[in-house]
Amino acid sequence: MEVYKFVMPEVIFGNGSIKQVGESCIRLGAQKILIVTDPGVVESGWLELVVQSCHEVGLSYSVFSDLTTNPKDFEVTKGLAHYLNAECDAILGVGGGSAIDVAKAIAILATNGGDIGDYEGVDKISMPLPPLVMVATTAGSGSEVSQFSIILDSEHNKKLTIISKSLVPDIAIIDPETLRTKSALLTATTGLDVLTHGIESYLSIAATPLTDVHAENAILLVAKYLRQSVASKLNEEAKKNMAMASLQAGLAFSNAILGAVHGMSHAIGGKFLLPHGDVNGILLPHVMEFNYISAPDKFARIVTLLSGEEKRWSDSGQDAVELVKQLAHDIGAPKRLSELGLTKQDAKKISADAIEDACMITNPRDITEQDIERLFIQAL
Amino acid sequence: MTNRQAMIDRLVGVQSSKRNYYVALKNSVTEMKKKNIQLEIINDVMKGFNIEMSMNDILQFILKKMRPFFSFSYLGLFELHYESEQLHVHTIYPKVDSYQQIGPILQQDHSLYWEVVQDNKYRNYILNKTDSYIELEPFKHLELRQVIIFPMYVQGKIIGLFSLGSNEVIEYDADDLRFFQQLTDQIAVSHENVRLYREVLQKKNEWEQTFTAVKDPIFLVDLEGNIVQANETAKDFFHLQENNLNLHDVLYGENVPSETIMERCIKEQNAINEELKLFNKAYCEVYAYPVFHERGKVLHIIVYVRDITNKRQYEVQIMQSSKLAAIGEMAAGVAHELNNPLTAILGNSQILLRKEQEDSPTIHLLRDIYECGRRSQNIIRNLLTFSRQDEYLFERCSINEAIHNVLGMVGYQMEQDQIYVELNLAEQMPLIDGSAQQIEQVIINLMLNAKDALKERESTKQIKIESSQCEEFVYVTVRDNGIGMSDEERGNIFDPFFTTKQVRKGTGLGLSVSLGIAESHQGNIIVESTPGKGSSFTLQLPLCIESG
Repeated sequence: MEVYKFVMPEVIFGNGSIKQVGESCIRLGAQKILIVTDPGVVESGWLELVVQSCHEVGLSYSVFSDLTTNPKDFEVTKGLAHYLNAECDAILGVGGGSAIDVAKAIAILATNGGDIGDYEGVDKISMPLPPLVMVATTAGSGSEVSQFSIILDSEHNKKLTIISKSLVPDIAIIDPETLRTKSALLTATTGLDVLTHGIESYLSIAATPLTDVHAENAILLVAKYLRQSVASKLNEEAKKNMAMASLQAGLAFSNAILGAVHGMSHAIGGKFLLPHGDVNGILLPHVMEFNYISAPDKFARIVTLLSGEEKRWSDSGQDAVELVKQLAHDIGAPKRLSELGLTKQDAKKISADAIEDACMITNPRDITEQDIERLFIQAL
Repeated sequence: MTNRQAMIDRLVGVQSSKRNYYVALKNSVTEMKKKNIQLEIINDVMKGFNIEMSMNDILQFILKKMRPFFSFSYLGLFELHYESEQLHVHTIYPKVDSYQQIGPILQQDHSLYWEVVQDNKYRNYILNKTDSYIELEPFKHLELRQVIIFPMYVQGKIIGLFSLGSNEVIEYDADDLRFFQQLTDQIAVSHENVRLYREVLQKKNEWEQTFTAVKDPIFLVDLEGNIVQANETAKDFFHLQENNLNLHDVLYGENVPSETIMERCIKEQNAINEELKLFNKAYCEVYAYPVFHERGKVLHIIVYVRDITNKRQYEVQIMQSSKLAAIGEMAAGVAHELNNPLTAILGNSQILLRKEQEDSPTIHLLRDIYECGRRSQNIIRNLLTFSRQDEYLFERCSINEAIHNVLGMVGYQMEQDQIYVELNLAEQMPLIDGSAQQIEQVIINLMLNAKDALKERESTKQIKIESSQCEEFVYVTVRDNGIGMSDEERGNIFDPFFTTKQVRKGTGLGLSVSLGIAESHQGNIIVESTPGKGSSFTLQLPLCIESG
């Protein structure tokens, strides 16, 4: 691409940065914030820190935590009612992708009205959103810096992908300390998600030098620190680097978009309530194999990033796939979709939905519905 | 593939940006400003109509106000007349002559405006030279390229059209069109209000004219009798000057009866009429009509007064003269009957007198018989003259002669009552224009009244009759030294049927008829009286009657 653009929020990074929440909201002119979070965050005690920070600066708030993973449209509607009833004027998302995506969706409806389904697609938002501050407590989704929000249409069991620069939050706060409470399983699955974001945005046909920098570093950090992060909750350095990997992967994919792995996993996520990172981790090697011929040079670079060694381009495709598989294996992630309960019967439906997904557009190799079906079956 | 590239461009979008608050704010401020101006226009249209701004001024105002937002160059108002099925060009602003080509009334065939009336919905028309609308001529002349036409509704009915023309083609969004429709609705309502207002005003004027045209007093009063409205006749008739008067005072003065006609009207909830002698002495028929409220309660009363004084006077005169005619007829009959025996009495007494010696003891008695017969003959002749049933013709007549004639008729009665009648007549009295019979009638009346006034007097009863002339008038005064009258009595004596005499003795008609006769001679009767000392009545008559 010759002319390109890179968007990102103000980013506050570092241990203890979660205490900046109240001050950040005040700076944006907030008088009463709606805190959107999930029960897990409440349980882990991070919400307490957020609330404390609000008290310190005298900021009123109201908490909405009635949401689940793969957040549903009706949860957004509930959250909007909460926002309006409590007469809030800014939104704070605290949590993983679900809480942040719901926070964004509530913000859309708060100023634009209508149903969340009205905004599916690219650039459908016409009015600016209320001030948005996001605190990412899982290294993974990258939603705290991205222009995406993904909500489940509960009636049609389909994921609504909403893309707009207006969804880029005003301030993103990444506090690596929050990763300490994550289980090994969650660390593993979100870590694979970060890797998928890094590799897909790196290979995307919309990638630019600005996104490449972030994508490459994210891949490098995941390769170096994911294993240690899964291994120990107390490894501060590993947590800090995984948080940075997640942030950079998020910056990369938000600006370069993704590819077929996400196209397919969005389709699967629409039909089955499965951990997004696990599905990505299983699909990634298969899609990489398929995409290899589109960018052998970039694959050679991926091998270097993953292994720390310079590689010749001729065998780098297979090497990259193997390195990804090895990493997944090392952290004990599932290897096949069938382990998650998917069957061959699902192939047609999934591929039909996946081909429509916006992420397919930037996949480096042209892809057909049949290709997707084949890849799905391969990954079973 | 270009499709995919376009999609990628949109996803990573160099062309798209995060929505900006400043822009959104600015847009909403601009939008609000526009809405404000729109409200202002609609508000001003409403106000404008109230102060009876002309339609031309209103259209000018709207055009000027809209200019920052809408660049229309012409505004037009068309009026639909349902009954005649005509569409009139009411006002075009700025004023143009070009509609003259198609006339002030639009024909129905090939008319764009008529099409809007028939379609019953707004039309956004962009000029197309191949169309055959009759309006194209004026449009071309005004260099219009776009005309938006809205039907004007009042209670769901089209009363006309409002059109906005511009020299360029502009796209309007739903908000703009909604505003135009609101503006049109407002103009429609205001236009209709003005029309209704004028209609009501005209109706009101018609009623007021009716009210004024009635030449009898009419009042509209409230339940307490306070005058709400009165016509000009009422004001003149009662000499009303101040406002806030009460009709009770106007009609009755200080003698308000226990139940007034208005009170009766309210009580009976029905039309009432009464004959009243009003405070100001006029005889009137007064009619009171209740005006009912929607809920059947009396709200106001209309009081209608008819002055019947003249009619009453006339009736009395008719009555008196028909009575006199009857008496005259009878007197004539009696006179004729008496003439024959009198002739015998006179003839025979003359014969006997001629035969009688001067010194005969009975000559005295015979002479007495002869004289009495003569006198009887005179009385009868006067009676016949008085009761002559001719029309009262005005001729030159002598006042003194009239007085002598009267004395000839009533002198005997006076003698019977031991009344001393003293004559003091001017010697050189000119003749006057008048009816001798009527003048005699007045003098008889005055003498008979004087006689009655003397009835109770014990000592010398006296009546003085004087005649005189002063400038253009002659005067006959009948003066008695009888009981006289109080001031109150004196105020009433000319009213028909007023009498101070005992029942059956008087009809109360004499003086009122006398005054009527005096007035018909352009004269008058002047009264002076002192209780216990006597009264004088002077008949004043002009020498010449002025014609007309």
